[in-house]
Amino acid sequence: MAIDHESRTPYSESKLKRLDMKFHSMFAFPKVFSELNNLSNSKVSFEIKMHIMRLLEEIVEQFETEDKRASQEANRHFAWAFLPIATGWRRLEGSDFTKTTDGTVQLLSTFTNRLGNMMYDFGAMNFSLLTTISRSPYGKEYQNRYHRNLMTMIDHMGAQIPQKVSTCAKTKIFWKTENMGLGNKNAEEPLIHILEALFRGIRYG
Amino acid sequence: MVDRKWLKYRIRDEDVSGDGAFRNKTYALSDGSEMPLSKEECMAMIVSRPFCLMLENTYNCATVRFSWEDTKDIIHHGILAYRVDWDWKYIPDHYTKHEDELYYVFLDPAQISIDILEDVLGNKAYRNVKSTTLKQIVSHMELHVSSDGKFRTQPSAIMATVAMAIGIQEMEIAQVVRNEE
Repeated sequence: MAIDHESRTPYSESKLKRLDMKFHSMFAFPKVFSELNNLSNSKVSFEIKMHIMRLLEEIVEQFETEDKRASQEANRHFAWAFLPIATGWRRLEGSDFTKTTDGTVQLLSTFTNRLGNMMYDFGAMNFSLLTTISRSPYGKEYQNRYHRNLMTMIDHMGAQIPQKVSTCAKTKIFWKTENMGLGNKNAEEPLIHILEALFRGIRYG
Repeated sequence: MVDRKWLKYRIRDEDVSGDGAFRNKTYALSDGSEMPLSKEECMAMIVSRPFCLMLENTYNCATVRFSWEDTKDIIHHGILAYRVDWDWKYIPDHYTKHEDELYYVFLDPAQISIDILEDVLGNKAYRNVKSTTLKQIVSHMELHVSSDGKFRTQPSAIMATVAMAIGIQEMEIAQVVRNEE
């Protein structure tokens, strides 16, 4: 199937509702999946939209699984370090990357670590978005344990970035600043629309 | 060490540091170039190549202003200070909103030591740390420090937008170490 301006995500209404509810109960953002699904492909490309929805789905499902495991084992707390997405990222090594002729760092085509790959693709956006989610909709003082676990996980994963992309003492970060930010009024970056979808329905004051 | 505090009364303030020692007139960058430490020369240099930084600018939600007042005592470590206002217009009064917050820009992050983070910027979270990674822009604001108090290194939409406003297109991340005793 060709992907174009009109392409719709493969998420059904019921699945979107179920994911919205789970995400809301953990992270307190009300309708993230539905709002992302409704985002126009002209604002955020279909590829990025699908990537972010799959990433958030992984997060919410893995948090739920770990939560269940922790509640069943009396001597075991919620362990973000054992989440598959954290171990997938941890397993990424310098040798998994190659440098193209223009100096860009890329994952080798033979790479099979799906979750490591997921965090690396659109990496700046992933880290910015997950950091924002981890602070709760209202800031750090309103964090619950899911936010706190996510924040610790992202802080640890973020601190490992330079070791993964280069062994040099000094390295240019492999993401351009503009891709990490919100863009300006002439050229908005996809992230600003994703954050708007995230915060839709949140009220302040 | 010879006590030269009396020199404070004989020469200009900006030429002598708190302990009475003479300050260097320039800061040497690792590429061999030198950054002058006087106000006018320093400002002229940061707006020109290779830095091409903005002294004042607004980019999306970020408004930045170079602050010589906050820079003059740290420029000899290769650090610039900016005052930053951040207001996400999509959600008024969002918790990330801040005004006149200090952000520090490292001209040459690889030359910064953990001792400078502790002694000059006053971040005490690096106790017992011998090596760490450091992003080119840092701030003590709680949005930009991790739960253990260290300056965050992972990509952040707010920091990236501030960086764009300052004029940094590619953020550097450096491995920094503690000075050997």
